[in-house]
Amino acid sequence: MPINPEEQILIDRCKTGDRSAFDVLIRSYEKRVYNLAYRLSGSYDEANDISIDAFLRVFQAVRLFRGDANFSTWLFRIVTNVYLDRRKRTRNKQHLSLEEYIELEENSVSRQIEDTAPTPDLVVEGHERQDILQKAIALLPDYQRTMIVLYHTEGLSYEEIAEVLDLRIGTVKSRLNRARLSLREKLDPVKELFP
Amino acid sequence: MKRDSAKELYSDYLTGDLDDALKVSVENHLAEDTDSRTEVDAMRRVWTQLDAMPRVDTPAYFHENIMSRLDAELARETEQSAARTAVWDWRTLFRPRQLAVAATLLIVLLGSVEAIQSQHAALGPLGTIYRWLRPATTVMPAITPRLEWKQNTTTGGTLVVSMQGVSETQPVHYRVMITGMTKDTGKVQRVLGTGEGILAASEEAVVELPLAEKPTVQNNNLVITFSSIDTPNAGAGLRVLPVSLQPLTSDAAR
Repeated sequence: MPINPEEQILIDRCKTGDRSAFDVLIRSYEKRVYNLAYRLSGSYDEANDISIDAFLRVFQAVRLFRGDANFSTWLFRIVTNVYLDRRKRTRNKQHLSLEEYIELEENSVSRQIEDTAPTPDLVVEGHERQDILQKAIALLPDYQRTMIVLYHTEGLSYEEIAEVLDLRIGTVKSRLNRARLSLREKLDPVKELFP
Repeated sequence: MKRDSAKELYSDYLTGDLDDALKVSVENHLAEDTDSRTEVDAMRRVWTQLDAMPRVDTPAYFHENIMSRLDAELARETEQSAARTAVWDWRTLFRPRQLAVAATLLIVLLGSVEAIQSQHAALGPLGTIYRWLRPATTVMPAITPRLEWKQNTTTGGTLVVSMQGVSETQPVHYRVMITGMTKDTGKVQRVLGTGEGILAASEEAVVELPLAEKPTVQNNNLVITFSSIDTPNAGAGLRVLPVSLQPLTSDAAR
């Protein structure tokens, strides 16, 4: 998809270091960037940090943007890379135990593997179901989580995901399939919540 | 079809991307295998929930935080650059031989450029290279725009931008873009309209931008950007002019 002329003018101005142009450009993308960062990290605070880091990288690297891809695709690649870089730095510090539980208001549901059946009469509202889904996404490996978020919550096509992650479309499709299967398995203990 | 092979195709099956033969194979498998059927159904339900995940709101002052971090970063880079320059100056001052060589080279270079400037048309290929290295630049004229809002009888109206060049001898083919905030977008800054025209000395140029509604102008949030179309790389090719409320003569021309 070609870049629209107004956006192209803004990008050209950003390349000259024009702060006001960058201000306008950020406004048009900040919500999507924040949402992507939140769905990847599962944390509002971390989403804030990832978004800011990503926009700083964009400002520093915008001169290198050649327009071969959509600006949004290029931007999402930067956000994803910032997230993955941060994960690499903190991976050794994090250690999730199988004993940990996803806390609900009155019940606890095991993260994965454990065979604890959910309480049959568990009633959750829509937002609580979304909360569980977000936590299940957070349990996926990084590459699967990224696939799920880019496709389902950001609505990117296979082609766009391939550009963002620098993968072939066939690889995107097979990884996305595995990610969906994996997510379904993680939600198996609480499948009653997804009628 | 084996269960593992079928699993690899579930996504394509649910999106309808399988060809007819594979689709029939998967459906036959699902008809025979209850567990697989359950898995596909569960996958479809999770999929539906994934697509329905809501957007989260950005935190308060999110945009301001980004811009302040950017400003801090720019200030840090400026400081570092100044520090590097200071080190270079200090060393250079204490190396008179290098300084003398540099000064001589500069004088020769400036002299050459002047000579080429007056003769480069006759230099043939060298002249072409010179023009490529140092393209002629057109400086955008100093512009003082006047804005006028003409309300339509039904909805919306036209923002009339009038301007006059004062120091330019060559006509400039320019593009004008207005960014600002409107009621429908709340605090979101966006492009309101674009137009283009020719601006020559002592002539007034007018661009009319049809807009859905009268722009809200507060705290200089309406910005006009001029860019030269013929010479996009011109040294002063871009002008950004914040516009205050006063020039917007609003309903006077109704």
